[in-house]
Amino acid sequence: MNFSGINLSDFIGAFIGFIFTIAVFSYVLGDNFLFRIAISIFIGVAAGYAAVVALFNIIWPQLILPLFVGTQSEKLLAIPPFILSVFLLLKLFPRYSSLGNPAMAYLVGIGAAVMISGAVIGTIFPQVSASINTLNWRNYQAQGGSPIWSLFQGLIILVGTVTTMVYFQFNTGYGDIHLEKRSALFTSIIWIGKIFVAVTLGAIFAGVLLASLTALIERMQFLIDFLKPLFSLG
Amino acid sequence: MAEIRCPMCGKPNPSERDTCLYCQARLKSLTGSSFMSSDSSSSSIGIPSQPDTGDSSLPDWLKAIRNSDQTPEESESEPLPAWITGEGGEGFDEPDDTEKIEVPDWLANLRQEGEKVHTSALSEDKLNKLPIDDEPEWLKKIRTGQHEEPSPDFKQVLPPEKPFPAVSERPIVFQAKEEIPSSEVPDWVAELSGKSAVSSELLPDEQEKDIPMEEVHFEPKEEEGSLLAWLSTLEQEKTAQAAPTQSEKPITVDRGKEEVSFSSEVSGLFSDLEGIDFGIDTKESFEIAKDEKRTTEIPQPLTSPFTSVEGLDEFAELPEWLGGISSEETIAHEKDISSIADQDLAPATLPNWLEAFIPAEAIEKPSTKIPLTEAPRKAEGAGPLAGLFSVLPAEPEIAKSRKPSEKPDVLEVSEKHRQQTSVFEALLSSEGLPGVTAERQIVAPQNVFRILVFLLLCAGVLGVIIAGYQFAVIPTPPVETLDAINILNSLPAGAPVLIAVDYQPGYSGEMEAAASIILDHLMVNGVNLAFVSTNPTGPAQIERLISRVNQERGHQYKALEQYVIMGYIPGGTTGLSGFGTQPRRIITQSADGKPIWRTPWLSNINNISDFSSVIIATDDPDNARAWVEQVQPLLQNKPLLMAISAQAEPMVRPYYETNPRQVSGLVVGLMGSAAYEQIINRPGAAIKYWSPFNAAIMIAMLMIVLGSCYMMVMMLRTQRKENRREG
Repeated sequence: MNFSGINLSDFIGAFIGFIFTIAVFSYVLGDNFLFRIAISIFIGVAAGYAAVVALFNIIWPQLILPLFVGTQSEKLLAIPPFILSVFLLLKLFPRYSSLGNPAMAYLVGIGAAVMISGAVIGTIFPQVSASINTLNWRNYQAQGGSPIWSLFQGLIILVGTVTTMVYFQFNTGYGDIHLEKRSALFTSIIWIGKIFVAVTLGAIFAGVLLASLTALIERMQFLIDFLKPLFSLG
Repeated sequence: MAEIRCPMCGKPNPSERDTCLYCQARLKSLTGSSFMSSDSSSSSIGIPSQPDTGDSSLPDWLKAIRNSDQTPEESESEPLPAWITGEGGEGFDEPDDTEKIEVPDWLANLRQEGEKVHTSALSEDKLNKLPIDDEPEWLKKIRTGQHEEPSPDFKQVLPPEKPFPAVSERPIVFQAKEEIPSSEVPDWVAELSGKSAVSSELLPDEQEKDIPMEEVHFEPKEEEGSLLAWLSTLEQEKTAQAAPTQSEKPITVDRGKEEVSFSSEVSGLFSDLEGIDFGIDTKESFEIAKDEKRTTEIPQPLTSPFTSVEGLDEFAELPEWLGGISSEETIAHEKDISSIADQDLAPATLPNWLEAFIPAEAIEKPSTKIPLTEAPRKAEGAGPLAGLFSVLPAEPEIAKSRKPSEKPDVLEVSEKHRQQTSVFEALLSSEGLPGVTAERQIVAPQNVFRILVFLLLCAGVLGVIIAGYQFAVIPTPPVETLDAINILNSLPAGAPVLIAVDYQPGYSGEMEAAASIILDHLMVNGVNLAFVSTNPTGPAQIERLISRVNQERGHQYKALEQYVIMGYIPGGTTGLSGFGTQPRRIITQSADGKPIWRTPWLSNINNISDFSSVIIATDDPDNARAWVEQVQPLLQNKPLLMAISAQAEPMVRPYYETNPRQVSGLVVGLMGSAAYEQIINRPGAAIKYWSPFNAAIMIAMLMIVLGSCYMMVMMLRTQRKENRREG
């Protein structure tokens, strides 16, 4: 970072970034005032920015303007969301909060329907199909790879999928209240599924660790870039 | 105001009413109405709640007597009623002419006989002491206490033969000592007389002591009121034969055999009469009766047509001359009369109206002995059914107000209760206290360990960055990254590409490294870029990313001409679905308020599939899944690429592994970005961070390994110590 080529606003921004970075790093010493100040400012700024974006990018151009300066069709289309929005604001007042229930029900219902349909069409069916295709001999020939390796991968996917689903099978048969009453085969399948779950969680944790290290490196690079011109100037 | 409680509905009514305001039931007995209205202490039903003991409740004739006893002067000034004064010298015994006309001959003879008995019973001394005034002699005798003999008109004022309203449940029995021959007595009288005889036979002196108070009967042979016709006739004949002997015979009362006891309630009936000098010590007489009742209790109820307390009701409304007669005198007089009737009592046929008054029990059970165990039947004390026996109560017992039973002030607590209370108190007291957790073995102070880890990481990263030593080899690009590069390379210049910046600012270090190389690649190819975000802070992230790429990579991409920041897509998954179907309806203007759909390269964009490619930069696997689920099916085989964080790879990679692929290419984390930069030969932040990143990974791995070894050593030492202790 070369300060000679940047304006004052960028320098002030970089300085504020440097201060807040140090404040966040101070959490290593424990919860302290600087860390709480930095976190509070981040949350406040993010919330304020989100409110501004929602107001100027959503509410104003898509609700207010069509309602007052739009065409007849735009006004008619803007009336239902305006009424629902007003009812939704009444949720802030306990006395009239029940009036916001229809709008909330509309949002929750539509959201649930969209999520369920998307999960079924976009995740469940394709993933089940992919799990089945891992053992399809024709696919191996079409891909041109090693059929044994592909078959091995397909078996790993199949075993991992089945054993993981069995691991989350918590119910037992009638009378089998205790875990030790489960059969040895069932217990061994659960144990294999537990291994797959552990490997998956380990991979996720490793990815979190890598992401965190990348963030640490980026901040360290920023600090060095900010301080290096100062020391070179001095 | 005094109130009478209705015996039928139980509601209060004014005392002066004869019928209930609510159910129209009679409040006062037809047979004892006068008594019920005047006496206030006899019963709880049909009687004023507050007894009026003042003089106002007394009848005029009684007031007159009281006044004459207290202040003779005042009593003389107030003229007594004509029937008391007895004009003509006959006084009460001779009513007016109308009454004389109505009185039959037999009754007139009976009165004459009574006068003879009365006059013969008076001694000359007592006669001489009689005051010369308008009052009859018998009344004056009562006042002076000379009441040894009954009134000559006693029979005429005897009560009717029908039972009186039962004021008390304890009937009082007057029983004649001499028995009437059965041949001379009507059937029902004979039966009742036999019953009385049985009762007297069954009750010797020893047994009488065990008789409960409630079962004592008062059985007057003859009571106040009009005398029965048949009985008057018989007595008239009897009197004609034995009058001289009867008049000379002294009247005595055998207390030992005759039952003259009064219950306490009966004595209460006469409480209003206290203070009135009838010439009889009423209180004393009742006290005697009470004492005798205690010793002469009868174990079973003895009923007879004359056995009723209602007889006392009539007795209470008698004129003062009769009310002043003591019970002993009354008994003696009745005994005298009964002795007369016994001699010449002949069977007769009762008239219909008289048979109607015969109690039912006298007909149904004429001569059967009442078992000792039979409960006494109660006579209705008030209301229209007053005087009848075995009447169902109008008010159930449970509806009657009772004084609640007194409970002890001290609660009795057993030992078990104390134990349960202590357990409950301990449970409540422990509610606000924090739970005790097992102490964890601390290897080193947490703050020191945390600082040590931070210093080690910072030292390794800063050392590599400051030194500028690139010791790490750039990795071989993975297949998914190669696929992404190939897809982006295939995009023609000016092709519209949609880029979603959906990562949080905290992950900008990693995500900007991946996104910047993709942007750089697209800018190099001259692709038009449209940016959106499902994160409210996305527009700011987009601005920062573009400015950084332009600044660091040497591009001069201009807004609206080459790139457009469409802004924020509200509604989460729902908004994303709407944007996939109708992008123009969801996004109407740019983030800075400019109309975006009028730009030339966006004018042909009506659906999401009109974009040449869609690139998602996100750190959240849920965001990546939402784009795949909601937008990818609408792309119509247009490529969907993703630049994701390393933490999202395990969840997003399956979409790339599917066949057909839902995600066409992936750029994962810093490693994928460095490989991307390496392949397109445009080094940037990813390669810059790669060596410090590897150094940090090595330090982290070293700490993990060292920490694991330390823990293993500590466990082995602990196990060895335990083995030594055991060995």
